[in-house]
Amino acid sequence: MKKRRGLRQPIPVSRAREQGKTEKAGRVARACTGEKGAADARETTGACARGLSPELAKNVEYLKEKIGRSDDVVFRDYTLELPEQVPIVVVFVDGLASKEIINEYILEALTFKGELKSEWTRDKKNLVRHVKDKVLNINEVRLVNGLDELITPILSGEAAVLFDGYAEALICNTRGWPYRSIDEPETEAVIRGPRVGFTETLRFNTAQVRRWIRDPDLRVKVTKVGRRSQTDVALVYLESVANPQVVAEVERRLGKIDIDGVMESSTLQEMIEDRRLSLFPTIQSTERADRVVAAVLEGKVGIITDNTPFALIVPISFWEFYYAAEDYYHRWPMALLLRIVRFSSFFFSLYLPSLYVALSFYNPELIPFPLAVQLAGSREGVPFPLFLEVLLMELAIEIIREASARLPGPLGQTIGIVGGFILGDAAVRAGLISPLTTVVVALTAICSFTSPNFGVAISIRILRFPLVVVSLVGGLYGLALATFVLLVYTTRIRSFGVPFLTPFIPLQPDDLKDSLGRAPFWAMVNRPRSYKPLDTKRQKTKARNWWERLFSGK
Amino acid sequence: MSKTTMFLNSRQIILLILGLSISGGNLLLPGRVARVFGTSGWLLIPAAGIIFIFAAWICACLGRIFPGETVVEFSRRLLGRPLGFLAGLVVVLYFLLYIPVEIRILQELVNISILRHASSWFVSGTFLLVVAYATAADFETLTQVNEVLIEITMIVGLLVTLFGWRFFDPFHLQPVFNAEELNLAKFWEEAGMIVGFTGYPLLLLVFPFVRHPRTLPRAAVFAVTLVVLTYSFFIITTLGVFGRNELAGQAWPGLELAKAVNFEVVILERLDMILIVSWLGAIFTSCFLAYHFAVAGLSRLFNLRSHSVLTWALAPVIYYLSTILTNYFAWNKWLSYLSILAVFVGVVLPLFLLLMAGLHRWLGSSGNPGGEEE
Repeated sequence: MKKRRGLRQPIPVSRAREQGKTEKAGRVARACTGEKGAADARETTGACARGLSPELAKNVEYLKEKIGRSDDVVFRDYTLELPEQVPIVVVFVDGLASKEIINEYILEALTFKGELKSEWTRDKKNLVRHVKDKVLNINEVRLVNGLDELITPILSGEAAVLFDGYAEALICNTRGWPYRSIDEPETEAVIRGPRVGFTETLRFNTAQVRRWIRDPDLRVKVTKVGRRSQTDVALVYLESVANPQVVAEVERRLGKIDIDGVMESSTLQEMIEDRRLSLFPTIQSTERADRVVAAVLEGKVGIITDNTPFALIVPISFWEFYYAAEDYYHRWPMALLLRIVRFSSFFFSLYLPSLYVALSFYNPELIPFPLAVQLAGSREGVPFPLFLEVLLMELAIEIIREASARLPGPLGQTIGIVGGFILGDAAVRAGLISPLTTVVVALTAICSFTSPNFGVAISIRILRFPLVVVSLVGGLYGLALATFVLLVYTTRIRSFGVPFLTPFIPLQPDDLKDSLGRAPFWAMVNRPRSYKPLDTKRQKTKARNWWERLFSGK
Repeated sequence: MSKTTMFLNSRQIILLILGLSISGGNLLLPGRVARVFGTSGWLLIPAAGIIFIFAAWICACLGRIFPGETVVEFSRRLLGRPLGFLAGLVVVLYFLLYIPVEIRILQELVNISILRHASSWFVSGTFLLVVAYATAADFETLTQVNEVLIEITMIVGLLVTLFGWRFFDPFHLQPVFNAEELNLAKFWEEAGMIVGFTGYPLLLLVFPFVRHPRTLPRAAVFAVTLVVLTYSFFIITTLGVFGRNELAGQAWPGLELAKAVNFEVVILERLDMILIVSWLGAIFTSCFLAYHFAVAGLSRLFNLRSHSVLTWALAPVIYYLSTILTNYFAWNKWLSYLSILAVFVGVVLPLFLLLMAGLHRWLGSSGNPGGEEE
């Protein structure tokens, strides 16, 4: 992989594209002229732009040389029984292309049942065009002139039809591979709301977004990423709403990726995010189609990658990792309660063990007297110091969590019960750990599960360990300093130009309606201003009373 | 995405002044005021406040006259190179000397409350490292962090002060103007200390970042009025709760007030700890703002480009200065010197520069452009 230092420098999109084109053209030109050192370029770019030859054998030979050494690539010879016979070859990849489409809509159609009397069958000059327009009953057929233009479509599941005597070929959309049906994502299940998630097929996923947003402004721009994998990546956004600077920036960063293959959207995530060494993710990933739709409606950009159900959403603020999809499907009081619970859990999952250590070590006078007595009593006979006890327990919880995640369903649950409940109880009875520590660590673990986003939950889990160490060294003072460092650090983070802690830092009063709580829908007249959408209005106000007018900003 | 150019709006300017004003010194102020002015001490703040509001307005007017320039640049134009350089240096020195005393206040505060027996190098050193880390960040980040921390501190401080009114006795504020208690000779020293904590001299260095220079005087006057009201409210409350004699004997009246208003809470036994922890935030903001303006001023004085390198290079100097202040008496004396410097930077220098600007304009209009150098 190339060094990607230049990625941080802001280059205008048009210039970056032009630069890319020039570089690629230069590489291809050198490869075509057989220049030394260009062999690798020839390999990776698919050689020079070579036109189709009128001789079918030459074309087939070239394709066999390029992709025909694999057994799954099929070259089907066929002859068109026209007044003058025309040999053809249909090339496709077995397993990626639908055999039904090839048999019924290409091969059978090319038998020209009832067409032989037509006038065009004698027009030898435009035969390929006539076949495209009058014979093939396939929804997507296109004419190509270059040999290299055939390779990627064939490897993507399309079928190429080559004709003897013609320097043109047809590419037919015959894509049809086994796929998973649409079902609810296990990791983002909801009580109320649509039970649809993305699948591994890009087109199904973009179609799902289109089903929700029937707006002519919805743009689905597909680009290929990965020199060898040639993975389709679709940008989904509303042209009249999304901030064009953000769209251009996403395109620029995707265009800069120079990697052999994209396994999953996480590859893209790591390569295009703002602070690549940061502990916090600055791009949201989701399996839920409705989340992407909601984000697009807010003026964000969805990035859907082929072969994975996980889509990416940019830009994003930290707090949004704690918003669940169903916050918008329940009535607002319920959503408000759920958000408060989730944000309190965030605080506890980050600070509870370290506060426990800090108060027990340095400031026991702050703990109410009965609780302090209980704490001292419960720790009697425990052989480990409190700090070590908390760290070991935290580590044990992580091990149990990891073990239960790796094992199949029922077995994983058993591990959870055995590890968490039985082992914990036995350890307390044996006097190895104190009951209060068990309560604190277990409560912390439960709190960390309330995060709807796995990525940010991991960041919090990682942060918990240094915070415990800091609280051991500096008590509440150390914790305060660590909080200042975290605050400064997260304030510096940007997600595609948007401050990570918005709408709180910097303060965006209008966006607070959808932050720690959620205001009723009628009050959320504007789209979040933090993302600088082109169209700021989400709805016309339907305010009925003065307080409704106050909330809806009218 | 490219870095945005930072421009301050009125709200941010107000919060910056508050961020530098609400600091460790506020916890000491009522005690000092009571010792010097007795029961009339609560009148000192409004009296001095009128002067500061006027001085802040003058600073803001300078910003309107010289938009896009800091005191470092326009003092050279008004006073000539050597004197202008000296004026800029004094402003930088004021911010620089402000930090060690805040660090010592923090160390004392931490040692008497949340981390007893901790060595001074540990408390001061770790705090200074965190402050330097923050200062090395860009100005936009500092402004945003300041916004959130100062708002939290203000809310906690206001709640504690409001709870204090349960024990408020208005007779503690009397007699007013008792000649025996009034030590008017020390008025400027105490006023200087207040201006030291008032923070508005930062205006002299933020002009290039102000979005609308026309709104600057209004924002500055509003901010300083808010600071004066906050100080007055705090001092009136402490004086009303403790009375002159008790207050004069207290080193940390703010903390004593928090302890006095303590009530049974379910999770924490002592409410004053919440005030202390939130006040650490206030000291943090005032320190990194002073640090930032010291570094920014130095960069402009000596045409240095790397803000972060200069920040880290200054850290040992600040740490050394903080070690000089070994005890309560030492840093109280330091505060007195700082007060004199504060009066010069906050009142005398802006007034003088405004007069010079007026003089230059007058000379310029009467056909003598010689006043406008460069």
